[in-house]
Amino acid sequence: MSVTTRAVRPAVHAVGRKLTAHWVRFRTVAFGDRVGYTLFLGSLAFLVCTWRIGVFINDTNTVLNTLVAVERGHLYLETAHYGGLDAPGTHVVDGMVYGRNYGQVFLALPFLVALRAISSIVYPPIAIAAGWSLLLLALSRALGTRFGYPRTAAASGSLVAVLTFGAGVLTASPLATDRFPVVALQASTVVMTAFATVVVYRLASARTTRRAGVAAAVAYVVVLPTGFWASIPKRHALTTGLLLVSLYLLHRARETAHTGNDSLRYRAGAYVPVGMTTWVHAPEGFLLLTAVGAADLLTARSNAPRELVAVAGVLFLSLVPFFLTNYFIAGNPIQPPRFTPPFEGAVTNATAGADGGGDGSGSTASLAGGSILALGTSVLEPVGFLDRFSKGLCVLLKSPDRVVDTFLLSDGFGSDDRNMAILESAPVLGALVGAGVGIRRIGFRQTLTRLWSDRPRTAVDAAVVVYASLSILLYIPSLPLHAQITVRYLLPLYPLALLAVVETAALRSVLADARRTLLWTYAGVVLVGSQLFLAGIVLLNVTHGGAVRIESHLALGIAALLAAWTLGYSLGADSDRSLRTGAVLLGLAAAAGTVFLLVSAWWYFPYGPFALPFVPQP
Amino acid sequence: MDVQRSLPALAAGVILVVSVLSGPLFGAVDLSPTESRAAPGDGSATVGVVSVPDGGRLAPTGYTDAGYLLSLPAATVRVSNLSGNPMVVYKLRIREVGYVASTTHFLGGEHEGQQALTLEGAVLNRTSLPRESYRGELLVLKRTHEHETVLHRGNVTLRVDP
Repeated sequence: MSVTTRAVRPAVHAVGRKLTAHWVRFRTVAFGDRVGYTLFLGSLAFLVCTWRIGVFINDTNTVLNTLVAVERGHLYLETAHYGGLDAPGTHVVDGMVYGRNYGQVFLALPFLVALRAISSIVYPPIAIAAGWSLLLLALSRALGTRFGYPRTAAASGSLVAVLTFGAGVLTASPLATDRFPVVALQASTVVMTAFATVVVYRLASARTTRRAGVAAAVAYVVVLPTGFWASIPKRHALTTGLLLVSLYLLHRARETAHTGNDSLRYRAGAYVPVGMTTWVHAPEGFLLLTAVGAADLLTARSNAPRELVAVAGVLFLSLVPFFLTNYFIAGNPIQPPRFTPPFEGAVTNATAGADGGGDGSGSTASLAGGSILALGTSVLEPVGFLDRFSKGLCVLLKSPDRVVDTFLLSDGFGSDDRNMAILESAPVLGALVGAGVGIRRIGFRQTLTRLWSDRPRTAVDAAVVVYASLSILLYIPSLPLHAQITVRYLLPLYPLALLAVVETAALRSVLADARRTLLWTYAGVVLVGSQLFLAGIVLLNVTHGGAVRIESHLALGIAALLAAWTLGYSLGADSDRSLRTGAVLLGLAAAAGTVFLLVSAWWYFPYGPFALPFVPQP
Repeated sequence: MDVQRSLPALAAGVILVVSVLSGPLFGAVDLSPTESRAAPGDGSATVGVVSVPDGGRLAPTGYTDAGYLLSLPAATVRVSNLSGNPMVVYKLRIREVGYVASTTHFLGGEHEGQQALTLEGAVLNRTSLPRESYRGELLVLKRTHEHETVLHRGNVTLRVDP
């Protein structure tokens, strides 16, 4: 930019200034500040590295067929380009076959249109390589500015970007036209996850410190399973991201700095993700509405008619696309496609949880078709939900084995099983044990009073508690489940728990006083440990299932140690040495998450070629 | 000095220009999209059934009320004269409990010769199965151009593990 601006006239200067001003305004709205923008670039760059182009779970075939249909301008499916028409989740109304997750499909549509447009000028594999290199360039500039060595960063970033792009051009291979919708769908969830990373940063830093916010955001994308599901285009990345957006807007609405119309704007805005989530997957939209609605109404400064009308209006508007889709499919605006009769096809009968499809691991028609269907014919029928919730409560009370296997220690389905419980896939959450003790130490009553005096916190906390409880009740009757890898149905719980982790006194002291130890442990284990681990499982010829078991046992051990340390710390063992121990444990726990993301992308699940052509296949 | 400052713009320019030059308009490299594989189900093949299992197992998943894991050994088929992307379906039906499981295998590409057909990840969502064994109907189907051919239909015994 500087070459041009130096040489040309003031008019161009003015245009440049205007563009800069627009850019800064956009950056503020979308990312909050420079740090948020940097986190967006960084998480996008990381996620693209782990992205394989392909279909991981065959439910995705249905979404892809739906995307192809919508691109051609209709909601019904004509032919099955991916899998069969009888892939899980197709439905039939008046002899026409319909797909699923229309909200997700419409979100991916612009990506597909853009990809087709770009492909007439640049071949898509080159475009992906170029995009990634430009991303690195922008990231290096942002980091350079942030840490005060812009020149070095600019020079080295430019060099690395050109080199990686060169490597991309030399190694790229053609992309078949039937992969275009796959790429578009995956790109949409990858971008959504990167954006959610920024929302985590903004929400966590608004609730605690900016440093804790950055830590939470980085963890969201490189430590937690949310990174794993980013390029696997199921609904989970989207609904989790939308939940976070809603929570963040709720927080903003309650901040004292914003009063009157500003506050109302944020408050109503918090309901926009409800409509979008419902469009993607109706039951989760209902959960979000209940959680945000209850928290909002209970903690609002005013529930004056004017405010409620605005909120209801925005909620209704956000639901319009959903109503329209339903109306066009079922003739009834409140009957989502999932609640119409399943397509039984010529071959498969979906009476029980069996899947067609050859690639990827199996999936779960049982939840898709069966029990959720029993929720009733409409999202607006609360009886179905109550029934389902009471069933969930029954499981929680009567089947402790299932609860343990879902949350703590996965028993596995068969010998080559690659599923993990929540704690196994995110050992950092072990730090939560100390939080409970922390509350006891301050005193329960005092905690409550403190909560009540801090409205943004109360509102978000209430929404989090309601959402987490309801989603556990909704899904526990179907858990544990084969083909869930990291309990994907409960994916939103990871960032919600993360928000709690970064608030614990233990974590905040580590971030304040033992950052170095934490970072060195993390970096050492990720760089050296992941390679040792891979070498070990390859040399010892361990099956993928076996390797996942080893990894999850290690994770569980680390989580237990971390829990013990946070417990000790909150009980008063807070010497320097204790803090360093905690930093090492936290580094290990975070690294365990990252190693899982890297090894699973590279080794466990080779379902397609990497989007970056120069990443070697094992 | 200023060269260093303008390096990023230069790098971005190089990347964009090379991208366009290598693209379909100028064609410095040829990366034109390959044709998609034939749509699943379009194509033909001669498929002969070599062997089918005569029994399988239903084992509790180990969780209270969380169903049974169905394990059925693979069937073997011999594929020849393959063109396009026909499908072979391996399917099991247990009428007494109203259960059907099937896995579709795509033959596109290099799947000539002896092929194993597996039944993947089948879970029977019943809280309990009162009998010791169930009779299942096993089917191997070929599906080409929306047309189905039954290659094998037979009975299998499914033993329920305690």
